[in-house]
Amino acid sequence: MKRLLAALAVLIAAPFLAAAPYDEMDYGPFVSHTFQMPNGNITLRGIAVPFDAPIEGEKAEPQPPAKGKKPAPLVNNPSKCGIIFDTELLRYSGYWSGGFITWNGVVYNGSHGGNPGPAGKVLAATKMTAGVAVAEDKLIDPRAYPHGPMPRESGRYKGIYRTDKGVIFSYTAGDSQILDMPSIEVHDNQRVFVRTLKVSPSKVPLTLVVADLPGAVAHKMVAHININGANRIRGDRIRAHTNSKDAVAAIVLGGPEGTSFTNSSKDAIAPRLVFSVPPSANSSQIKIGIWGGSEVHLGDIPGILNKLEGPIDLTPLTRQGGKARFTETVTTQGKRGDDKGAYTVDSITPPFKNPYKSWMRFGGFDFFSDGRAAISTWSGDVWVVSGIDDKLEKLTWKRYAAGLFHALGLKIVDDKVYVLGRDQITRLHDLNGDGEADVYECFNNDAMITTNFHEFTFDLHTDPDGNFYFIKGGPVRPGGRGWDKVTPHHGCIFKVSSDGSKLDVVARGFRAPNGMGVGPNGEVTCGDNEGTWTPTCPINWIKPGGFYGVPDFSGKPKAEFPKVRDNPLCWLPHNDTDNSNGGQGWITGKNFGPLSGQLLHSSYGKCRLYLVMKEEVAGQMQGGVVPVLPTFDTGICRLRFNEKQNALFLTGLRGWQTVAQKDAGFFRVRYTGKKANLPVDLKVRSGEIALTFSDPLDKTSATDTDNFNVERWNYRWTENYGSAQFKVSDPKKQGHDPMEVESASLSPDGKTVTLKINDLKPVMQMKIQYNLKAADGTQAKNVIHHTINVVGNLRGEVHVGEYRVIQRK
Amino acid sequence: MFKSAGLFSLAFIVALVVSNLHSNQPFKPGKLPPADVAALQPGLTLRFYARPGDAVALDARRIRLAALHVPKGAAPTPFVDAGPVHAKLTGYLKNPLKGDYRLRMIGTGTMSLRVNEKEVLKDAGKEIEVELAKNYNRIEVVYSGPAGGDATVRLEWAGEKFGFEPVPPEVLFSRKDDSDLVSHTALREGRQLYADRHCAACHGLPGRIATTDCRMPEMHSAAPQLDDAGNRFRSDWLVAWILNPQELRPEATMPSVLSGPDAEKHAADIAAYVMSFKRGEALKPLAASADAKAGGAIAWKLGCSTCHRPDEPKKPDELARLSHFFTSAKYQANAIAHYLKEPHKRHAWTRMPDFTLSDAEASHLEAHLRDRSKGTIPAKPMGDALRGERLFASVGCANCHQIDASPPKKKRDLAWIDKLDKGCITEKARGNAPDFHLTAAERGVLTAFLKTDGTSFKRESPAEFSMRQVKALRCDSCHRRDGEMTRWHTVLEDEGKVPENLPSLTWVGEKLKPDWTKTLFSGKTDHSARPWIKARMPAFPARAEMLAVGLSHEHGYAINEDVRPPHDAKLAAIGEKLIPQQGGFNCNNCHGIGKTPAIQPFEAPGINLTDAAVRLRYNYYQRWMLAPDRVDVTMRMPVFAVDGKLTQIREPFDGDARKQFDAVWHYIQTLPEKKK
Repeated sequence: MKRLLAALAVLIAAPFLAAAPYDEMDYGPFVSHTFQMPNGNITLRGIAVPFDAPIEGEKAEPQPPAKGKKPAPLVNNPSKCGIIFDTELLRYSGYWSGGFITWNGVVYNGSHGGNPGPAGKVLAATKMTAGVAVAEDKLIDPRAYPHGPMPRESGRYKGIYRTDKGVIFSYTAGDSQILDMPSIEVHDNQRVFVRTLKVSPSKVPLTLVVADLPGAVAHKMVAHININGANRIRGDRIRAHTNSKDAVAAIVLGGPEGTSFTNSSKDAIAPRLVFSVPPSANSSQIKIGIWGGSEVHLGDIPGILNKLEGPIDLTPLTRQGGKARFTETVTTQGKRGDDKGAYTVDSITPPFKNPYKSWMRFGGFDFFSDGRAAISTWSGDVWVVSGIDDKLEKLTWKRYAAGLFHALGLKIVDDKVYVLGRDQITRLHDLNGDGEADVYECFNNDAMITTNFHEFTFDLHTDPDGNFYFIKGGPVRPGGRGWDKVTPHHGCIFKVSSDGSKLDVVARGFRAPNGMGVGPNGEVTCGDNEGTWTPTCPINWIKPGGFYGVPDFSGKPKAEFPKVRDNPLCWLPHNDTDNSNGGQGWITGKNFGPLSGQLLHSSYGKCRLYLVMKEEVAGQMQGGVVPVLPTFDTGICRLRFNEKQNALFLTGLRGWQTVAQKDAGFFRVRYTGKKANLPVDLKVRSGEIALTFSDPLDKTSATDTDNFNVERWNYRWTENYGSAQFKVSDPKKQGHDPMEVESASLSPDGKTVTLKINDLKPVMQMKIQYNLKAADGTQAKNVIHHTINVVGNLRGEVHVGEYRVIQRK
Repeated sequence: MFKSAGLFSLAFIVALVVSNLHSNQPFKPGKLPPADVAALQPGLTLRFYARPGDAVALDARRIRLAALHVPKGAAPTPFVDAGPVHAKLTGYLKNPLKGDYRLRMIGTGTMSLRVNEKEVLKDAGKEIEVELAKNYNRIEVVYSGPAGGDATVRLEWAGEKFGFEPVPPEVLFSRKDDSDLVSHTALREGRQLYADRHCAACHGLPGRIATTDCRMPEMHSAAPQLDDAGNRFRSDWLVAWILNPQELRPEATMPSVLSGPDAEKHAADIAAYVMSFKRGEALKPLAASADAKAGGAIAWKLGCSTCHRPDEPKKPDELARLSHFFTSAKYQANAIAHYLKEPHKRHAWTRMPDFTLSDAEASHLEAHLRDRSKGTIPAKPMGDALRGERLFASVGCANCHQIDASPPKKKRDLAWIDKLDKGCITEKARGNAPDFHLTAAERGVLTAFLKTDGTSFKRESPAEFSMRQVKALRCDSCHRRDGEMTRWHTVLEDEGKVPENLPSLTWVGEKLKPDWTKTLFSGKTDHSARPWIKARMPAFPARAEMLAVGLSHEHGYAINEDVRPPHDAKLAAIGEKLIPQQGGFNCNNCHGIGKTPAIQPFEAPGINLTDAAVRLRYNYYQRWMLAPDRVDVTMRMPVFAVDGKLTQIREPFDGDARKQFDAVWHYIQTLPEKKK
C-alpha cells in the first residue's frame, strides 16, 4: 500500500516536476475525453469546455504546492471554469469553477488508469441519465447496455460548431433538432452557467435536465434534499434545490408558451431540476441560467438570475464558422534521404516547437487532392502540411483542428477530413475557408467505450465501396495483464457504412492492435500486440466473422469461448522483429521498384518497416516478413502510398514502450532505382521453400547451404502474457529447432533460390537467415520470419495451449 | 546429496576406446557426423599442463565459457599445484550461419588463439576478423599466465550487428568422451563423494592430511546436529530412518549402519537415545493459525514443487525431486514450521533454502505439507536408550553427528588405503561396515580417487566450487542458464502455467560485483533488487563467499576486476539529461530512480538505477545497454542502439551510443550517494 501511495504521489506530482508537454499545451476551445467527476459520476464520452469568467476582487486560493514544486497552471484559479457535455447521454455532466481539468490520463501525464476530471469545485452536476427526453419518466438511461450512444429515437449527438460566441453542441431528441451553447455569465459577482438553446419544431414535448446537486451520481444521491417551501423560488421559471449546504438554482427564459419547470418528479429523495418544452410548430429559442454555490447565497440568486437577457438565435452562428484561432503557422525544413540504397527516406520535419505547445505525436494522416497532408496527433489535433514537394525546403504546418479524443486515425474522402477518435469518427468542415475546422461533425459514434485507459481505437481506412474501417483494442488493465470490464465492442475491427449511419463488427479478438490496413481490393489486415492471449505479434489477414486471439473479445459468453484461433498470415518474434505493431499499407503504384504492389507492415515498438511476402494456399493466406529499411527514430504506425508522388509516406509516434527516441516522425520513402537485393516472394511447398529476390544472385553463394540458417519454433496461445518459443521436436521445451538445408538451387534467371528442406510442416514460426552475394557482388544479407499454415496435405491449427498439425480434408 | 556419478562408468570405458580416434583426422569446419554431435556437451574443455607444449595434461575439466581466472599464487584446480598457469581451452564454436566475426582475447600473460586449426591471433587486446563456418568451428586457446600475477584470459567476439561480448555458452561445445576429461572428471566425482558421504569422519583424510589443511569447503560440512532431536522427530520415523535411510529417501547420504537379526531392535535403541536429546519444552506453534490453503499459495509462489514432490520416494521422478511423502511422519507438531524458518540452524550445509519466511508463512507451509505428505510409518517397539547410547558410539553415529553429551567416537580406521577390496567401498566384502548403497559407478570413481595422494583436498578452485554448488543447490530450478529452461518451467508445464521470469544466471559472474552477490547469498541484503518478483531469492550463508568469488572466476574475472572510467561530473550532468522522456531514453518509465518509482512499468519493470550503480560491472553495463537482447532474449529492455553504434538521440555525441551510455553510467554512479 505504501508503494502504491508513493506511486500515486509521483503521478500527481509529475506535472510539477517540469513544464510537462501536456501541461503547457493549448488544447483549443474544448477537450474530448472520458471524464471522471466526484462520486463516480462518469462521462464516458465527454467534451469539456473551458471558460474564463473573472470576478473583480476575487482572490485565488491556491493550495500550497508541494515542497520545491511549482503549482500547475489553471489549477486553483477561480476565474477558470469548465463544463462537461456528455455526448452519449446528452447531458451536462458537471459545471465547476476553480480551474479547468486535471491532466490525468495516459495521453496527458501517462497515468495508467486515470481519466481527467474537474480541476475545481463542482457547482452543479447531473446524474448519469439522459439529459433530454420526450417525457420526464424517460429521463433514465435508456440503453440496454450502459455504453455507447442512446437509441436513435431517444437522442443522438450530431456534432459541435465552433463559433465566435462559443461552441455549440448539436443533437437530436425525439423528433427535435437541438442546438445548445454553453457559456458563463457574471452578474453581481456571481457566475451563472448559461445554456442557450435552439429547438426545432416538434410534435412531441421535450423534457430537459437542468441540474442535480453537485454530488449527483447514477441513480442515487449522496445527500437528502430539503424541498420545503422556503427553498422553492418563483414557481415555474426560477427554481432551486438545496441540501442545506450546496444549492443549485436555475432560470428558464424563452421557449414556446408553457415552457416551465416540471412538478412531477416522483423521486422525493432526489428531485431534479427539470423543465419541459411543449410541442411547437415553430422553432424556439430558450435560455437557461444555472447557479451553483453555497446555500448562504441563495437569497440573492433570484435577483441575479433575473438579470439574464433573453436567448439569441444560434442558427446563424452555425452557418458562419468561427474566427480562426490558430492563426500562426509553423515552417520547418525537411531533409532528403541520401539516395544510397534502393529506397531512401526523406524526413518531413514535424513542428515539435509550435506556438500552441501542441505535443507532436502523430496518430494518422492522409492527403488532400492538392497534395497537402492532414495529420492528427494523439493529443487531439489535426494539422495540415503544405509544401511536400520534391525538395521539402519549406514545409508549412497549420493547426486545423483540436480537442479530439486520442486522434489515432485519419482518412480524407472527397477532400473532407475524417478523424478517428476514441469517442467517434469526426468529419471536419471548414465553413469559412480560413483553414480551421468550424464543424466537428459526429460521423459515427456507435462503438462502445469504457473508462479503461488502454482500449485505444486505431487507424482509419476505406475500401473501394467507401466503407470505413477501424480497429479497437481491449481494456487492458494497468500493469498489462487481464482485462477491466469487457463490452461487446472490445477487440473488434469495425466497418462503418460510407454514409456513417451503420457500424458493423467485421472480426473479433484483438488485444491492442495499433494499426491495420485495407488493400486496393478491400483486403483487410491488422497487427496486434503481444500480451494476454496474444503469444507474439501477428499479422492477421482478416476473414469476415473471424476470430483472432482474445476469447474474452469473441462476443460470446465464457462457456462458449473459442478454443481455436483463426490462423494469422504470419507470426512475428517479439525480440527481434515486432513487439508492438503498427499498421499496414499497400504500394498501389507500379513504378516503385520491387515493392510495387506489395503489402508492407510497420512496427511501432521496433520502429521498423517490413515487406510482407504472402501466398494463398488452399484458401489460407500465409507468408512472412523481411525488414526493408533501417530503424526509424520513432514508432512507425501509419502507412499511405501517394500515387502522385510515387512515394510511400509513414508517420509514427512515441507514446508508450518503444525503442523510439522521438515523439513523432513523418517520412517519405522514395524508390531510387538502385538494386534492392530484397526477397520479394516466398513460396512453401512440400519439402521446399522458394525465395524470389528482386535482383539476380551470385550462383556460388546462393547454392552454398552454409549461407542459410533455417530454424523453427512454435508459440503457445494461452491467457499468459505473450509466449515463450517452444521446440517443434519437443513442444514442452523452450527453444528452436534448426532445420537442415539439404540443398540450395538457383533458377536460370538467378532470382529464385529453392531450398530443399526435409520435414517441412505447418509451424507458427520459421526463420530463414541468409548471408548471400548478389550477382553484382553486393551483399544480400537479411532475416525472414514466416509462418506455414498449410503445406501439402497438412494444416496447422492454433488451439488453446498447443499448436496442432492436422491432415487437411 | 544426489548421486552424481551415475553416468560415469559406461562413459569411461567407451571414452577410453573412442576418444583418441578423432584427434588425428584433419578437421573440416562445418557439419559434424551425427555420432560426433551426440558426443558433444555444452562448454569447453580446459586442460592444465606443467609446462607449455607438454603433451600430457595435469588436469582437465569442463568450463562453461571461454574464460579462466586464477588469482596470483592460487592453485588453478584442486589437482594442480599453485605455480605458473599453463592451460589450453578447446572445443567447438557452433555458428548458425557462415559469416565474418571479429575475435579478441582479454587477459594477462601470453596467449594464442587457433580457429579451425589455424593460429589467428596472439596476445591480449588485439582483434582479428575471421570467417566462421556454419555449424562447428574448432577453437583452441593456448594460454600461459604471467609469472607472479593473476592469470586471466577471456575470449570475446563481435559480429556485424553486435559489439565485443564474451562468446556465449550457448554456442560452445566439446566432446564429453575426451579421455583427459573423463579420467579427471572421475577423480573430481570421487573427491566430491568422499566429502558428501563424510568418509573422513571415520577414515580421516587420504595421505594423512590434517583436517585443518583441507581447503574443500564441503569437507567441513557437518552432519545435522541432533541436540534437540527429541523435540523435532517422531520416534517411529527415526527408527525406520536409522534402520535404512535410503528406504525413506533414496538420495540420503547417511549410511545404514545396522545389519543382522537385531538391526531393528538396535535401531529402536539408538532412536530412543536420540529422542532423549531435548532442548526445553515441546516446540510451540509459530503463529496462531495455520492454513493449508494459504500454505499452498506460498508454496506455489516460492516454487517448492521444483525441488519437491508429494508422492512416494521410490517412485521415479524425471526431475529428481525430493519426496516429502514422509515429512509429516518425520516431524512432531510445529517442527516443520520451525525447520522451514531456519533450515540452516542445525545443518549449516543443508541445500534447503532459507526463504526468510515469516512465522505465519512457516506455519501455513507446515499445514500445507501435512496435508500433502501421506506417508505413514508403522508403530515401532520402544527401544532402550542406554543401550542406544552405547550403540551410538559403537556403530559410528557419533563420528558424524556431534552432540553435547556425545559418547566417545568409534575409533577411526586410518589404514583405509590398503583396504579398497574390503569394507564400505565394496559391494560384497562389506562385513559390518556401514552400507552407503553406493552404485558401481560411485565405487569406481571413489576407488580412482583413493588411488591419488589426496592432496587435492589441500587445494580448492572457487570456479569449480561455484559450478558444483550451482548444480547442488539447483539454482537452475528457478533461474535460466546457458539457454536452458528451468525445472520450474517443466513442473508448471502440465498445469499450462508459466513461472515468473527470474533473472538468467548465464552472465551473473560477469555482471554482478562479487560484493553484491556475496551479500545476496548470505541473506543480508536489506531489499530486493526486483521487488515485483513474488518468488524469493533464498540465502545460503555457508556458501556465500566462495560462491560469489567462484562465479566471478568462472567468467574470467578477478573479484575486484571492474575497469571503469574515472568519475566525471560533467558527463554525469549530461547523463542526467539522457534519463527523461524528453530528449532522453525515458529510463524512469520502467526503472525507479532512487525514491522516485517507475512511471509506467508496463509488463517490464526494471531495477532501480541506484541498485544498478551498486551491482553492475562497467563492462557488463556497456554491453547490456548496447544489446540487451544479446544478453537475455527474454528481456524487455528496448534496444536503443540497433546497429550497436548509434542511438536515435542525435545530441549529445552525434548519437554515439557508447558515449551516451557512458554519460548515463556516470549519472547513475551519483545516485547511491544522493540517496534520493
